[in-house]
Amino acid sequence: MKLWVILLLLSFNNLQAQIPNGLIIVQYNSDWNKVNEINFNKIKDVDILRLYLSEHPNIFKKNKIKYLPTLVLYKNKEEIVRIESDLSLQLPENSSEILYDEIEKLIKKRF
Amino acid sequence: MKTNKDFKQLFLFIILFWFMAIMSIQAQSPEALGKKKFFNKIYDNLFKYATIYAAGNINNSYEAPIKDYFVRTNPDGGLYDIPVVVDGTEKNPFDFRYSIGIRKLARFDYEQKGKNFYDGTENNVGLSSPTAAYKGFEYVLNWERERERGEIFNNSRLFIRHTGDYHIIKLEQRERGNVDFKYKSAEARFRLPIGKMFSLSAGLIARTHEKAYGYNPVEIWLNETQVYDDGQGNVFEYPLNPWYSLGFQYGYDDHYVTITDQETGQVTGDWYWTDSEDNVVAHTDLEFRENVFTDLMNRYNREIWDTLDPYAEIAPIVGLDFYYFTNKFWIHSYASWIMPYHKYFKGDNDFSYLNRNNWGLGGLIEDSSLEQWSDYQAGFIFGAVIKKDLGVFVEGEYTKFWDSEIYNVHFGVNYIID
Repeated sequence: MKLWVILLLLSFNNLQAQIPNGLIIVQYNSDWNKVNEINFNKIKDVDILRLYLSEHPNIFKKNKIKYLPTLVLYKNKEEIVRIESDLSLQLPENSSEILYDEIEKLIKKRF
Repeated sequence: MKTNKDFKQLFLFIILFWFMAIMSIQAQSPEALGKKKFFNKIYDNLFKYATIYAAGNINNSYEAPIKDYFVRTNPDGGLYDIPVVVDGTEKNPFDFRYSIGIRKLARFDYEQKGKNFYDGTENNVGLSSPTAAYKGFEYVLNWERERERGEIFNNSRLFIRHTGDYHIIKLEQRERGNVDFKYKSAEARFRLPIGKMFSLSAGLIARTHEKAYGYNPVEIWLNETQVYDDGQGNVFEYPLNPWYSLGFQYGYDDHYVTITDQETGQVTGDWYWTDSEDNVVAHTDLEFRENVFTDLMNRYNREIWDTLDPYAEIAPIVGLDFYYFTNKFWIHSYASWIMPYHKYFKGDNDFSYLNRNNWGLGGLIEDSSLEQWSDYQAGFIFGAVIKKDLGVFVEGEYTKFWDSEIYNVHFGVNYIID
């Protein structure tokens, strides 16, 4: 199933209150590496989606995910920033800050 | 005094502004957050992403495309000598507008900023649609002064909204000096999001209006009648206020004259009219009614309307939003329906909009029932980039508040030639 079909279904089924801003963080990973996922509790008003290679191999292929885990911030389906893990299968320590800064810039542009 | 009243309103608005900002830090006491964090949070809620602006513009005023000329009797001659031709085209000093303000209002994705700087003339969709493009505290506080065709006006727009997961609170005050428009509203709605594209809302809205919509004093005055019974079974109903008596009220007088045709000897008569300084303003009743009387009717209405206090009413409101955006296709539609359960809590009820159809011959019809009404505001924005070089758009908004209807629709196709 395409990534955007999943997102569309999510948006129809999700009764959680949201103001549409088109921001989505997708955390691409594999089942066996969940320990290296990042928790985005501090980032608000952004949809967070976790996708695992075993469940959605086509999406990984189509989006050219080469490293696990990989974080991608999308704005209205457009890729804004991609953060990839290194050989240790860990994301950079400042991943949250990088994403937060990008989100801040995007929100600021709307004012 | 009007100025004191304005200051009071401004003070109230500032208090509400702070109140909403503090309320928006939900359930987080200073102790829980730490004082510094608490004040940082207030600062973030109030001013983060806000723009303070001061702007102005100057341009030449309107000038009639065709000049108006009139003739004046030559000072060295008489009425039948060559007159002096005078350019009587109305010329006004340059127009200007300057404004100061602060705004923190998010644009929807399909809305382009359009220019590099804010100057107070922006009219964003977010000011009309129930749901905002940003969760949290938003506002536009704009004051401006303008001169148009030589007349100076004050305008203002004060808009505050807090949008939360399940609520919308909105306060608005608008004044447009050049059209004598003043409007205030306060609304609180419960919001139910259904997915991320659709949301419903319901609550209460309180609104004011300065003008007594639906009440036409001069029509009522002209329709007043008196009944005369001659005691012999004949009953006559005649106008209590003949139309021409309005002229007498404003200092005009009529004089009967007869004209005799010197060739045929036929005599005709009519009334000519003079103003309070004995200047002739019309040569016949018909001329007076078609020219002077029209202005008197409007003047009479204005004077009566001015004696009425502003109105304030409260009514239930429901609304919906649908928003879908991608870079190539977007739809945003929204609507608010102010339901027909209006309750006036300020202003003279006799002249309220609820009685707009209850005036007839002799004034307010006795035992007439109040008539409710619906008000609406709806908008639709659609855009599609069909191909890299081809796009279509439709944008429109319709507002019906009391007697006034405002609508605008823009549509078009763009094709870029490589």
